[in-house]
Amino acid sequence: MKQKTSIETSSALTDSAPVISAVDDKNTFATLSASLAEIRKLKGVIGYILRSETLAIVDLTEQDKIIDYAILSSQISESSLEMTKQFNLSNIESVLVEGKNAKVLCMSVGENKIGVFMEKTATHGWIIQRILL
Amino acid sequence: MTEAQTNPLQIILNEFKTLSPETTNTLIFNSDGQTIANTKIQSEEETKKLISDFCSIAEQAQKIGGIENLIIQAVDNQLTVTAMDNLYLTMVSSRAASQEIIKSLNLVVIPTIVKLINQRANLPVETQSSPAIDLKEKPEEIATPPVIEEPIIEPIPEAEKPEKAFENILPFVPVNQLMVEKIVGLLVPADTVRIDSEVMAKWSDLYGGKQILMVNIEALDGKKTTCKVKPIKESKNNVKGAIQIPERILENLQTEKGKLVMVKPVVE
Repeated sequence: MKQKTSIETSSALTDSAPVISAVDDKNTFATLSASLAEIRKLKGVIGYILRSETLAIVDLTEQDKIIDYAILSSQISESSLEMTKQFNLSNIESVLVEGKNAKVLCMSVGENKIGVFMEKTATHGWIIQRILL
Repeated sequence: MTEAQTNPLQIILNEFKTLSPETTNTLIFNSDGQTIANTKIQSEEETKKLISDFCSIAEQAQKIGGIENLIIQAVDNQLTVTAMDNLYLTMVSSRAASQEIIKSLNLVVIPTIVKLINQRANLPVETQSSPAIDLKEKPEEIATPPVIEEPIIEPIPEAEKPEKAFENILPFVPVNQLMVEKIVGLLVPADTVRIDSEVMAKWSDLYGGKQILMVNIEALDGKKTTCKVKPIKESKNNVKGAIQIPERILENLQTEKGKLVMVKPVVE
């Protein structure tokens, strides 16, 4: 079952964040959401999570796994960042976690965090290219 | 795993730089977070931190069946963590490195060595554990057999005497594959085949000098017959590995000259 959720929160960033950068972020978010909507149609892609500091889009086939997958993608983003620090890896492009049942591709574009969930047979290389465009 | 068992992994890791110079760091740790082998560029604390971060992901990744592979790609470098049973191989390499070499090291070489180590490790564990159980559970039973064995040793030679007759039947029966030659002539007995004398001598030696008088012959299509046997008298080279069979037996076996048959001695 396909479910699409859009959450928009009006957080109190007005003092610290410049308006221009917030607009830029929103533009990037919109571009990414359009790209992910395309990616979502690819064979083997079971869903995605896109979140910025103020917005989030969740589109997952399995509704009951939304929370699990949200926590997983968040954990991957945080821990992989820590791991790369130790090896002085900079400018991370992507993090791919392959499990026995599925795989997750996590990427960061500016302040936006992306998690694409797919079957193991799906090709993730093209997805990375498409998001980095 | 003991140190001796992990050594092969350490040796291989040390060779990674030679095999793939673009590999800057490698580490193998187990699911308990224990370092098994590494290239020792990182400090112990850093290694622990790395394992801890990985475990945080692994815990959440149970939702997708646990981690098999983790690949972090930066612009110039990449970090890969590959699961192998209970072990994890972490490798940091340049993205310019030959991916084929990296993959073969990650997915073939190390997993194969780990499997071999595990196989070797499993054998002594089983053999060590079973006597330990026996000693604890049945100490008296273990102590008694040597006492019983002593009187048994004496009757063994007596018992062996009647068994000697069976010994001649029980040993492994050699089967030779021989090439068929047709033998004809007025003085050729129709119920006797002739076999290379070397083969006959070997059979005779195997059965303690006993003369082989009968053989079982089986054609490749499964037809069988038992008949008398004699050694080929001629000492020509072309009789080596040959069996000369009279026409009637050839008909029974439905075989012909140049074909192969399986021959084994009949020892009574």
